[in-house]
Amino acid sequence: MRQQLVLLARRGLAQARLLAAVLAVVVAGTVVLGTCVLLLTTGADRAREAHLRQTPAGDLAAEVAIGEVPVDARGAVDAATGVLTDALGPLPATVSTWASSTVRGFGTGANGRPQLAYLAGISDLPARAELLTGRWPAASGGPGPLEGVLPARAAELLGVGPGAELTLAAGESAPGTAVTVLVVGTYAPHLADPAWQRDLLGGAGYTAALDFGVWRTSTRPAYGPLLVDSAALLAQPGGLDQVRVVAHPDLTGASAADLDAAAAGLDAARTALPEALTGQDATSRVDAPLARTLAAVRTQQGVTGSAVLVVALVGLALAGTALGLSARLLTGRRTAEAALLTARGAGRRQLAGRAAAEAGALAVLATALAVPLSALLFRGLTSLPRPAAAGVTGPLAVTWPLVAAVAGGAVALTAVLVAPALGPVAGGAAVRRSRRGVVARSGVDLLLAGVAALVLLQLRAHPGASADAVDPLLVAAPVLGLLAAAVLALRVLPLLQAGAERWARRSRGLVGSLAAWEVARRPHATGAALLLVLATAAATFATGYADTWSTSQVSQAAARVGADVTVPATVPAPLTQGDAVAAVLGGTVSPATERPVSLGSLSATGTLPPTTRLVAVDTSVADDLLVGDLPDGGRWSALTAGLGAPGRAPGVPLVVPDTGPAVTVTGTGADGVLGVRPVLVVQDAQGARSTLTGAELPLDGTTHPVVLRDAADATPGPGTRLTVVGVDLQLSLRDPSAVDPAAARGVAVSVQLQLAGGPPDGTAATWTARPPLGSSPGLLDRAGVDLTAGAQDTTFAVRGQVSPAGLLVEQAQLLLTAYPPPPAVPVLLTADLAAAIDARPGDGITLGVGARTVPGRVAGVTPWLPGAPGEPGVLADVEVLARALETTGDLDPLVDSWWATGVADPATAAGRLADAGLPGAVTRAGVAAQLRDGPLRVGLPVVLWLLTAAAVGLALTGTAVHVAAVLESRSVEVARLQGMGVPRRSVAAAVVLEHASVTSVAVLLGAVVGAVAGRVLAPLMTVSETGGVPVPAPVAQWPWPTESVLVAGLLLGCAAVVVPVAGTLVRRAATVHLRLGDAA
Amino acid sequence: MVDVRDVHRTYGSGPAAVHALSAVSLTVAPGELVALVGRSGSGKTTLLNVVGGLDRPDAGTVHVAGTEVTALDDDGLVRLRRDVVAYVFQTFGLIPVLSAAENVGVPLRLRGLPVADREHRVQLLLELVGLGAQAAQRPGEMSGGQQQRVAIARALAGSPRLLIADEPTGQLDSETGLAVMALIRAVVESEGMTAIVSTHDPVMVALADRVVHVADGRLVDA
Repeated sequence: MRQQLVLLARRGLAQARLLAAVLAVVVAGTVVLGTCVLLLTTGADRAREAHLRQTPAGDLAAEVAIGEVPVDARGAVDAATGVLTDALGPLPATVSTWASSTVRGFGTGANGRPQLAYLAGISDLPARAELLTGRWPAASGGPGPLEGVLPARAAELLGVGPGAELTLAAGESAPGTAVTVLVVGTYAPHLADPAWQRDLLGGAGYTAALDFGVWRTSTRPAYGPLLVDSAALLAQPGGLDQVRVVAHPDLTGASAADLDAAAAGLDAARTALPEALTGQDATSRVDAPLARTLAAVRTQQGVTGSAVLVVALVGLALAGTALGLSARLLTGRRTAEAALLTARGAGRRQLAGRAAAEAGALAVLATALAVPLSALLFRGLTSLPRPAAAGVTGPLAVTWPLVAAVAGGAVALTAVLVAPALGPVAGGAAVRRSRRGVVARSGVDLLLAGVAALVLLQLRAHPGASADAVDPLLVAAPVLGLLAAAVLALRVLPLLQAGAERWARRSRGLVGSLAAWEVARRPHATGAALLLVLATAAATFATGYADTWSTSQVSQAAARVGADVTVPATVPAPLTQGDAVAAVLGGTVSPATERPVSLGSLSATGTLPPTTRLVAVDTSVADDLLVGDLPDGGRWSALTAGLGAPGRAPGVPLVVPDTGPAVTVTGTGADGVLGVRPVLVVQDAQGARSTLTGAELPLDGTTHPVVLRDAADATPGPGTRLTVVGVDLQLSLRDPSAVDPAAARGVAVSVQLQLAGGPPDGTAATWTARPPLGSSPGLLDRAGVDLTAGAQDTTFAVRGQVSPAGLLVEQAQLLLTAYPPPPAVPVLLTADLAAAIDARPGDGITLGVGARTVPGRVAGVTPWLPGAPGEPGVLADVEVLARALETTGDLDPLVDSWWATGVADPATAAGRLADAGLPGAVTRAGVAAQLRDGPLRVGLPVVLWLLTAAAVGLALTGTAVHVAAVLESRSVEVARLQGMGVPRRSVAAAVVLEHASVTSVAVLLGAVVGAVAGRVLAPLMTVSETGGVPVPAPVAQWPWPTESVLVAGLLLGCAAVVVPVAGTLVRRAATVHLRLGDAA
Repeated sequence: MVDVRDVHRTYGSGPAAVHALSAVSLTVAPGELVALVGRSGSGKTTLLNVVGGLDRPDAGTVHVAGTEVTALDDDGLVRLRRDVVAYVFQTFGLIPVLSAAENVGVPLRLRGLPVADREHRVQLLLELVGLGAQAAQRPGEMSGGQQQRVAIARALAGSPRLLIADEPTGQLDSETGLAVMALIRAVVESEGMTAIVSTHDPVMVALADRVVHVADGRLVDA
């Protein structure tokens, strides 16, 4: 045994360079494996922690909402708290409560209209709002009034402050007794805190029109919430509308097992909660954003993990190929030794044992080297700018999974070296191909082609990744595809070899012929070529895939945002918000409508999806506004060509003067019994519609100034310039007692509405007056309007005949617009929606927007909906939609958000908007950065960089091993050529030419394989962050500059390896082997 | 044709120095077949290497066909081996991936002979050595005798003026060796070339015009 080891050691020393090269290959392969394991374990933990650190607190919470709050509210809260803390298991959690009272009567306003108000109790109040005056309410358990703080907006409108007492009445919707609140301060909510979305008014403090009543059919001004002590509110007997118990777990240092347990616990809480509230007679539900976040984390880590495993497998396949080549070279080098040992009686088992001992030693050595190198490489990769920015950088990590994986990989790889010892002792190199071999290879080719086809079919049949774990199909597909394609590509070599033979036969010279013969007749060239083809294919595929993936993330971000920047409109949006957004962002700004729409099919058939989304933007600037790649390079303007109106509605300018009213009303009707409330539909510079509402004024022949208020109850300041595109005159009875309900005759009504401002920008003749569509017939007839344009003002002279008896039942509306009612709103349906309802262009469809329904017409199909890709939806023009809704009498603002493109420096747009006091923006660049470089995402490009580097490294190492071994084995032959008078430089040129030709062909074949794999596999392997098929569909990318540099680098690298090795060996062959006596 | 004057060649230095050649002088006339005879390690191969320009002596001069070999640089030695001297190795020295015809054609390709002329001469040479039918076979597919005959044909392809053969029958059986010896004798006579052959073979010795004995790096009389 000892003698065997000594022999092995001596042989190792004699063949130290070759063994060192083999060791380098094993180390390279195991380092790739080890780094992948670290990415899958330590890297995944860090990525999850970084992601959770960056996740908004609201998405990490778990919440119980209790409705129909029982009398024992405190007990219900305690039960819900228990359920949540039990569900979160080992994660310590901070629990808060948010209780809201029912809406109660709150006296009458200055105009005599009844008002509403409500209370709320927030357990962590100082974190949710800023105290502006006074102090926070103290706990109160006594009989006196509750202490409370008022929203500053409500305090301003009510004209009250600390010290005032407010009484909220009991009522039908607020059982119990009246509640008196002593105001001890005022506050401003932290509106950036998503918790305020729980509030009835979203933290606004006041609304002029809260839907009220059992059927929400009437509106009243409402104030709130008056914040009182949470415990005191819970102790109130009844009168609570809803209580939310929110748990925020501390995820610092939470292990994957802790998080899995929490996710499972939250799932179980859905059944545990009703049991805990048994007997409380309350409705309850669990909302667990944390569980959704953790599920998304699992999915994304599964997607990234699949890519990491792909790289590990490709890396191992490359290393295995390189080692297979090395094993053949070692075997060739040791043929004489093996033959001698066999002749002396050594059995195959002994030879295999000797090989295994050597392989074991190499595996131990490789493990010892690869473990620290993997840790260093992992640290280096995670310290690159993008991963570092994602927060996944950390200290050196040497873990047991790393050691186990590296050791296992080293053993597996070095086992390749043992395989040749298990076969018969090799004789001379086979130089002619047997017919049987050709047949066998043909069978293998067919098998490989079948495997490649199967991989492709499977990927096409199952797009996307499995939701919860590493997807075996995604992992196996590229490895199998690349291997099959690389081996099949090598079948081109015999054709080239045959061509080289023919050329050599016809050639006069020697150098090229020698190279051609060697290429054509040396079987080892195929092994080296396979390694190069596979390595080049892997590197180019990885580069192309990275670009395809990255481009797809950008494309997905564009589709998801819809424009460069979107800014949610506040509700209610101030009149000047569009101008403010445009001033901050610049570029093309459009109001956008984004809300659910209910569809009714007039002529299409099929099943409607449960939720459908409506997106409406200004399609007249579609190309400037909408972003996101359409298939085949299509243009948005072409797609949306049939959606828009001929132009913006012609309007009448309205300029608020420094002094005096902007609008006056003069009118007559039924001797002053009738009144009119003018509502102006105005449009800002961005085309956004909003309304300015005046108070009800008597039609008594007197000219009345109109005080206009916008939806936020603000009056436009002097100098405000707007365009009036519609007027809604709401006629009502000021004194119902003066009307005989039995009288059927109508009375003439005349209203003159005078607007300060210049002449109209359209023709007066285009303005028409009519009741809204669907109005009661006979209520308002013979309507007409005349416009008189002066230099400084415009006057609408409106006439009609109204039924006073009808006004006892409902008010009459008279709409003045400069456009006819659109017959239908042309819309584009998303492809999946159109397929689901079997709708075709020209089909009629009804669009239910809010409480109104407008007719629509299918104008075409869009591959996806801007702003909501992947959702079934409807795309329309915001102007046409606004006109259609206005003609039904619905003047509610349609602006849900502002979309802007062409924004200067969009990366800082969100910050600039925040500085301007505008709500949080979503930028395309930000979403793209999150999709590409987020902690859970950045692992994929990182691992593809690793694959590229590993492939290049293994290709160069393998080439070096191959060239050195081959040339060393041919040193005698090289010497003989020189002995025949072939100049040394010619011999070197022949050797270099031989290897250069094999290398070039192999690298080019590899690039072709990589390109084909990238084109076919990369789009199928690119999945969305949820593991689904991305929208828009990924388009294969082939970054020519990068790929060209990569291929050129490989060629130059191989040349850098081949040329000096060839030169050295040719020189050495001359001096060592040229003498006759040594030539033997 | 060959004039060796007071050549010394020592390998190594100090106590381990091996004096492979000591004050060796030898003259070979054109068309003469000289057999170098001596025990293994006597200096035969070293002398052949020095004459053929494969090794440089420490002292002395070597002239071949009027050219002072010892004064040639590397390019000169390449030209010498390409145009004047041809070798036949004990182990045949064929390129294994080339066929017999391609091996023979190597020196002709070096000279840039037109393809048709090259193929014609290769065929002639192979027929001369009796292997016209084996032109397409590779060395691994031929016997040792056949390989040595291919080697001789290749040596003759460049029409050398001096043929140097180092124990050309060393790996052949006696019958095959005799045939090879006869072939060398025949081509020396037919091509009018000079040959120096190192050998242990008494048949070869008998076929030589002159026999030179080498012992301990010196030429000795028989």
